[in-house]
Amino acid sequence: MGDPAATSVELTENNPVRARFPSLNRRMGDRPLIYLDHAATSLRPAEVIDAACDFCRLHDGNPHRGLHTLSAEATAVYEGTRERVARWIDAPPDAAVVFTRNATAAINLVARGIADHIGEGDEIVLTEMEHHANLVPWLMLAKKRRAVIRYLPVTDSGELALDTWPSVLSERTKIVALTHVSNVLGTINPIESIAEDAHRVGALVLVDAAQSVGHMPVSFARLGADFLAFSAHKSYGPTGLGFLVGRLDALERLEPMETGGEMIELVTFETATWAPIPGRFEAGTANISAVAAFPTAIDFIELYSAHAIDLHDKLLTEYALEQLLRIDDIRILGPLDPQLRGGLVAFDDTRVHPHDLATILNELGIAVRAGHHCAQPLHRKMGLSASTRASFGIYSDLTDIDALIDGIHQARKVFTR
Amino acid sequence: MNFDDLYRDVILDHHRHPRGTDPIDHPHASFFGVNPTCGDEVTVKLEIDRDKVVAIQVEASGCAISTAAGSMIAEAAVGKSFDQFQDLTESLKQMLRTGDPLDDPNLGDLDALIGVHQFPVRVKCATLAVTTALQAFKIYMKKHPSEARRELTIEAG
Ligand SMILES: Cc1ncc(COP(=O)(O)O)c(C=O)c1O
Repeated sequence: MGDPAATSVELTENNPVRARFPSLNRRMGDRPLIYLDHAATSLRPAEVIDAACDFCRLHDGNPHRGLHTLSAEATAVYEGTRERVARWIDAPPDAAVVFTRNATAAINLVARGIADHIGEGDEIVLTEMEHHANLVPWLMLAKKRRAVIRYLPVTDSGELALDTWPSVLSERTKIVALTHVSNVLGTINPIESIAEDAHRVGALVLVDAAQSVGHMPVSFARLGADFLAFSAHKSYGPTGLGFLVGRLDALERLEPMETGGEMIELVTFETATWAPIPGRFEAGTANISAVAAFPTAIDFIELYSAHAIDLHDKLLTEYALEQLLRIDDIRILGPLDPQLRGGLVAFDDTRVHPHDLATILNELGIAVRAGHHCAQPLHRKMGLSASTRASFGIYSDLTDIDALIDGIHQARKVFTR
Repeated sequence: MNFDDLYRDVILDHHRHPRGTDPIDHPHASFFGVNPTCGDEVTVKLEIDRDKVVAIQVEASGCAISTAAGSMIAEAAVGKSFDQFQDLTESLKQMLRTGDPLDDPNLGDLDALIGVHQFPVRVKCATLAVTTALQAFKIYMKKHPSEARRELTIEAG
């Protein structure tokens, strides 16, 4: 699988990868499962499931807690994953990888931990396309510190209105938090230039990479952000594990919000001091088997290459857009140019409500997401309360999209009889 | 797969031509309900006289099941006392839970929602309007305890 372009075409047209995903063997009644909800959680290949089980069967200790062999092995596995993730995500030596529960917890860690550095009237810049995970924690922070939230608007075509950017950013901006890829619009945002501008006014930059990692090559160093948050379970990895990658000088500014075992340096009856980064942000026992399994998910992605997966996503997105646009009364959310998008397409069928569509599709064995996809303000801005989303993983191919299109026509038949 | 059991003709008819849409300008009680997981919304306004619903306005935005259920509630609610409305709510919920047809004349067209029983994730769509209407009614009862009591004493007498 050397050539990413050839690999992506093979994945798109005659997908050999499916056999590696046990849950794709499920049948929905008398039909095969067609999984188009990758953006909610990716399915996991057998080797990742096995890796988690193997850890429990073999090492099964608690890292950094004891001198016996199992604990020592668990420590090596745990810290091995940290190094592997750092290399994979291209974190430079002056950055660290913190294990969290998920992307949401990683963002909360920053939004809550930074509170002491935010004062009344300081500004936090978000975009109108944020997932609630990268919105609500900042609302809480703003309320607590009497800070002001400013939004970089989204245009009608679903891109950031960058012409307004100079007026949104100011000397008062302390944090810019934005998504790399929108989980509704699919839009890929120009993080590098935004981070550069934000740093010029002294603001910190947090990037929500939940929908980009595992879909395209993501380099923490190249993006130029101070913080990067993502979840293992959207990248073929286990649930219950997420990551906060941060520059050390930025992480230093965060007060740990969860305290207790393993995150301390010295505890007396009166006081406690914190362990060095990253340990100070990892209070209590982690999801060790998930940490142990994640390198196998990285291996899986690297076997095909993130670049090939990106091309594969774009081929599928292009095909999905083309097919959907042939149907009357379907409105695509987000840019119409697949090159500007990640591997998902949300749409509004003005004839059949998303829930009704999703129920009928489910009866046909097709799993899509229907609702606001944790982006209520964005939906409201677009004049919708819900939409239907199809999202793609490495196991998706053109036949899945054909089935979706066919399903939409069947749903319309139910509603026009 | 036959979808007609879920999307029965009666349901599609209510969805396409919802009842209870005439505006009530001075409601005695109103309540806004939302289904946070999916974003369906409904506002119910009630006009109540002597503890009985005399007019109801349902403004629903959402899927066919939730809008149809709102329309059916609008029909079924008129003339009901608080207790009757509470019973109706319970009957509907029970039918959706058990899948057993109910022989409750209070339900009106609501019995057509029985197919929703097979789709547990959609039960909330079918109950949003009725629970919202019940909340509105409860607010009224809280604000007018005397009237409710008067009704009770009249019945007792
Ligand atoms: C853009 C975006 N950010 C954040 C999240 C939250 O991820 P998690 O639920 O794994 O914390 C999601 C997941 O839906 C997402 O799509």
